[in-house]
Amino acid sequence: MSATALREPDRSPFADLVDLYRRVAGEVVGREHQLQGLLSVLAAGRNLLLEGPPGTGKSTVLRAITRHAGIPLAVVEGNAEMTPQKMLGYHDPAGVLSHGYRDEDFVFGPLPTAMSEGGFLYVEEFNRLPEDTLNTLLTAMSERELHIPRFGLVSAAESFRVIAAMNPFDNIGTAPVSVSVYDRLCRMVVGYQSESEELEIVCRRTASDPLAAQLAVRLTRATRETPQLRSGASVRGAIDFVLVERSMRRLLNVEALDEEQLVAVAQLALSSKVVPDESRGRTTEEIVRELTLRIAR
Amino acid sequence: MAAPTMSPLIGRHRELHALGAALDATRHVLVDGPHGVGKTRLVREICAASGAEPVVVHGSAALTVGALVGTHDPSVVLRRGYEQTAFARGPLAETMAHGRVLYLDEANRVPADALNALISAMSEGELVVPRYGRVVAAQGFRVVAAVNPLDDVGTGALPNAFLDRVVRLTLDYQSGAEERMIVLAQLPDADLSLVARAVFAVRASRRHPDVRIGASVRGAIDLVSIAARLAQLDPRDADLEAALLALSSKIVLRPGVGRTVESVIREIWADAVITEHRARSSPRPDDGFGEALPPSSVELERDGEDDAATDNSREETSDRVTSDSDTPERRAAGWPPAGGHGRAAQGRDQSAGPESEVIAQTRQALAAFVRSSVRRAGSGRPKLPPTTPIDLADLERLAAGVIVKRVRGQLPTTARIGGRFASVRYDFRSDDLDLDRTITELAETPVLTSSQLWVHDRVPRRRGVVLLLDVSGSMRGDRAIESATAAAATALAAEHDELAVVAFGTSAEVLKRSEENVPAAELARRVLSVRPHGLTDLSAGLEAGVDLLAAMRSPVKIAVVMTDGVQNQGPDARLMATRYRQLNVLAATESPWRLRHCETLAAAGRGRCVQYERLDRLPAAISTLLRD
Repeated sequence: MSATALREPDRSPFADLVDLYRRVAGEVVGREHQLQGLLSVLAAGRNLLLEGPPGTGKSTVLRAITRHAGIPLAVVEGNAEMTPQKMLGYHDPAGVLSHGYRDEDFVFGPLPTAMSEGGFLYVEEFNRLPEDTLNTLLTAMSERELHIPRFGLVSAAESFRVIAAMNPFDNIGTAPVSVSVYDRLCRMVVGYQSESEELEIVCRRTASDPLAAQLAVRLTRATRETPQLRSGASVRGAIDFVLVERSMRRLLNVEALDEEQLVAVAQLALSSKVVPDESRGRTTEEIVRELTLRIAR
Repeated sequence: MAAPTMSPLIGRHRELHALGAALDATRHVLVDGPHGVGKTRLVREICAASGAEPVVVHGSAALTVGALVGTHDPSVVLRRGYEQTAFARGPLAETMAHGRVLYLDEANRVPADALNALISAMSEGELVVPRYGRVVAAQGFRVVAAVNPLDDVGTGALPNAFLDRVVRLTLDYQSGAEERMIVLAQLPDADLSLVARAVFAVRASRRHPDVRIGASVRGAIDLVSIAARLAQLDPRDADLEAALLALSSKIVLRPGVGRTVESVIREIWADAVITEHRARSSPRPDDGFGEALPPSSVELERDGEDDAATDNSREETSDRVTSDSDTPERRAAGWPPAGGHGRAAQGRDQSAGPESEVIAQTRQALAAFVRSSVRRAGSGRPKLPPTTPIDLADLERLAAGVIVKRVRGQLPTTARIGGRFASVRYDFRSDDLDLDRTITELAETPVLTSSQLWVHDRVPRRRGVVLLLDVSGSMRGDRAIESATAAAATALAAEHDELAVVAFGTSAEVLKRSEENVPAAELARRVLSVRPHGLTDLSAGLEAGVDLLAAMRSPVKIAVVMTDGVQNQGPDARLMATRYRQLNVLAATESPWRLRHCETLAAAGRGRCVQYERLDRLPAAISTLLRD
């Protein structure tokens, strides 16, 4: 339970919620419903957990929000090397050796930086953070202050938020997260976009027309549906496909690519973004080839 | 440090008096309660009353001994050595010297060495700091520690030496009326009926039969404040959407429950709306909202009981069947082999009787398992034609291979890389400088070379591990595959450790000795070739484990027993469990009352109990149990 009374955020970037929503919605493709939920949680002073596969536009939306709200966004990658010291910061050793532990020598890590600047701390692959590092987020999230040994107290500015993202289906290298952490978060599931939304995204990002993007989007969606693959590609796969296909046409100086060339493009764009089902015994290249041929015909 | 503005404390009179009395009687206190229940708030209130604020410290890996006790100023040390003036007191030394309260939040996350320093301070009333001297506790020095008993990730059990030196105050959730007041204290302008519904919802989440851990009052606060914002953007269903956003991370379902947390929240919210509406239209003499369970969850509870009953009867039938098999007549007829669960010959498939029934069940389960992993839609041609009888030994080997392949993909890599954060000499790998230790080194030999540098890095520590598998009659078929999966996961997670594996039913059999170097696939195969049958002498299994661990050289010893909680032979296994330093339980059951048996067994062994929802979550559960 927070000992500090909840400061109602009205002199904050979220003061005019409706206006912020309209501005961000104009930039982001689709997702009105989720955007409303997301903004409401953040405006209410809460921290948020976004659950969903990669490439579903989580960081895109966050960047749009922070840009329009005029606050900084710090992105932290969750992995085993993210130690508590890296999250909190450290005393500059040279300074310590010359005149002892002084506050001026303390270099803020991403957490105290976001707190003092009132920015978002966006932690990707949240469930890959080691437990001890996760614990450093606990008090920052609920008490909105952080006690750093031999430095002192860091208080969070009003607009500081922690936003965690994770892919719940990816449990390689992940650890279960403690209940204390979850209790301090609200949660929203962010799934893949619809076909028309993905088409729109690809067209915007690659400056191409819907017809050219259609094969790319259909193929990418197929990688998610086939049981031969444990996990499929996100819309990034379609974007890469369109860009590589265009380059190849230019290189070969042709109007359209033939089947084999399309397969090559598909393998380039998709084979790193999908995970095959190992017990199947087929390679990624074979599966992508099969899918491409099926859809291109 | 300026006092944070505190919201008013609602209720908690009994707890305030208890805490005040304990501190007055010069006791140290352990406050025990789930998250969100107001532990920190309570301690701040008591300290505010006595005029001096507590010094708050949060338990985490960053809380080293130096951070807790204090450290020497390195620049002074390097120039003039370990003078008295060089020492800067940390929160423990500070509170001792000034006679104040040290509030240690998340005490079960404090690293062992810091905890030891705390224990000495608590018991002796003084602390001896190397190269500084004695710090004596002034009157009024108290330690108040807070723990969350439901939190089993990243925490360790508090040592007995600590628990012995505290009095324990349990904090439970407050009443509905108090929780409503808490929400209103935080959000004074909130709509009263929304607050009522929100509080109802979080309280219902704690009692819901599908829920293992429910939401605290924080969930209600989040819900109300989000709903207000959402209503500005899209008023349709704003309350329900807010409930989903606020609560879906705070509610943990029981494993094996075949529904999503969203569906539980929708159900609870619908009940909340109905109940609040009813309360408004027919006011009761009390605060009007009552504590009645919503109708749907009552039905669910009854269903749960039925499942337990059928589960029980199934177990008894199978055990009765197999024990019948051991009559003198049967033995004279040539089977089953006298050595208990030996390797049954494949050729005996045709003979009638419970032994071949076990084989048939095993064969069926293994074949189905291998086929399901081989045949993924697409070609539609399974590698294994269903009618060709395949040698059972080959089937076991095939299944073992599939199991290991799957487990590799499902085991968290932190389990395999292993190890805890430790301070090691710089090895050109980690660059995370351990400043304290490096400075200590430099103070003694002030020539800076790379060998004087100490860094934080993860190091695998060799431990002694024993895995005990229940192979009684109830663990047949698919359960046997689960046992083999547990064995494979343990073998991979304990790659750097000494590992022994025991299978127990009516008696205990060692499947792998610690000296043997057995690859995971071979270990899985050995488990699959054991024919589950007979009663469960859990105590005998545990006894074998104790002996095997005693023979291992590593100082850290961990045991994991995979069981469904049933023991129908031999003495009470809890007695044997107490002989373990740490016995963890992997609960292979969905029945709530058997799970309770598993939990008591783990408690007796000072370990943890973990359930797994499905086969593919089993390796992660094993890795949790093997983590220290």
